Amino acid sequence: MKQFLIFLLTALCCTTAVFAQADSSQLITVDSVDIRNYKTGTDLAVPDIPAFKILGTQASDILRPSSWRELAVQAGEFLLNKGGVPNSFALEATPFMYLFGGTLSLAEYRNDFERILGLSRVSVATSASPLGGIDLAIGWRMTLLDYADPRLETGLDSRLWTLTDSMNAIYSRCRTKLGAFATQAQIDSCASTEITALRLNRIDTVIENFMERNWNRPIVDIGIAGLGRSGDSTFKGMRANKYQAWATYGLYIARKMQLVIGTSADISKDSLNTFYNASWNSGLRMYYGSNDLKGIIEANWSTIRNDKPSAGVNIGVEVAVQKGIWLDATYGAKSQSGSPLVFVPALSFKFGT
Amino acid sequence: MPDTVQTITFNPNASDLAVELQVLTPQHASYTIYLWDQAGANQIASWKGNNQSPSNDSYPLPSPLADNAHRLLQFDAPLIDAAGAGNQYQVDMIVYQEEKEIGRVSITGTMPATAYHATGMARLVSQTTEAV
Repeated sequence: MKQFLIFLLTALCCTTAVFAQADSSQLITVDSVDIRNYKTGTDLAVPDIPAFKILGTQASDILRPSSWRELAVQAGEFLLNKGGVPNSFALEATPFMYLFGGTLSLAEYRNDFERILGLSRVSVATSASPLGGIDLAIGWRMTLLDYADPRLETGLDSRLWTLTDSMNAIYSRCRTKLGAFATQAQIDSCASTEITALRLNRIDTVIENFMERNWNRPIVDIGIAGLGRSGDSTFKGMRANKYQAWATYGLYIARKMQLVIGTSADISKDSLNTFYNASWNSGLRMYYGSNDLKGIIEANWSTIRNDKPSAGVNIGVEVAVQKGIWLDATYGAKSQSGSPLVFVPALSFKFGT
Repeated sequence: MPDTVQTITFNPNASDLAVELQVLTPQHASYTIYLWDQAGANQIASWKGNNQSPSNDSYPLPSPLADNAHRLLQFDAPLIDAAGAGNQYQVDMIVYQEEKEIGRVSITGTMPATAYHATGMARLVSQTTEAV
């Protein structure tokens, strides 16, 4: 666990250095924007959190990729406890956006090297272990490719600037007609017929079309996490007992479909307290639907060191309950050679800012 | 009509008087900058642009510079914030002389809707005119 923490801190320091260098030469220009606020109206799915994933509370080992959020929260295992209290909880943050986003321009954000390093996300998760005690996990994720990120979509920019250029022509005509001392209300009134038509009929449509067209664009995520277990809630005597790494590629299949190919490898301690157990997990997940409501069907399989391989299927839905609040509900069946079929229902809520 | 417009004082004997528009917040914006006569009835010049490009948003004012005394500089800037209402906006019209800032009109607020129209104005005042 100590080595993992050192790795995590090193990664944070490297990305901090890159952004400190970028900021020193930053000049305010017309299109210098605070990238943190450049969210647009899009509400893409909140991604899975690596630290949550390593808890092993979900039937799938695919790390669901999605565009970064400043802060994301995931709560799960509602079905374990009566009363709907979540048994596991995770938080993921993009710290560099808090520290440096205020002076990061859209142009700098679109520089692949800086963005990829800067959008590293760190996560922490905790869960009541079924073996007793508390599980604590920390994780790290990096998005290598993300065509769904509206901040990278220059096509959307172009369409919105076409609208402001059109509005500008209308305001300019009114200003020329009414003179410099016409009030803002008089200018707005003069331009209202044409401007209202533009605003109501086109801006929202442009953004909605962007969401529907982009939720399933290609994306590549990688992540790692470490899991430790403590005998009590003070986390004293915590020992690392599992490490896991993921790679996920989401690709566009058709207008309403996305195929996610995921793989992960993990190593964990055996009964002799040595890192001997290992497994390699792969899966294919298909999403079908719209940005706000998608059906999920998934097949996954695992090769386990010194044990029989297993395979499973999951079906479910991913729903945007409200803006920024997403619900995942899946029902899975898992089979290991020679063992009876195990059914795994899972429900998790995700919240992203 | 009382003139409550902000004033920006320039030196008519110096050179290079220019006006620039900056959008300092995350909206898509286009703009027109107008140079009006003293009464604000006749346009002397106007310049259009948007914040798509980081350059070419600075425009030289006509010569001789002394003729610009008492003229009005004004901008109209339609803004679109794809996130909808709630984000802050800031549009600054800056006047430079010999590459030094000599005055700024800063219009700020909160986007009341997806689209908003920001406007601001300043009157140019010549140092010599004031001395006289």
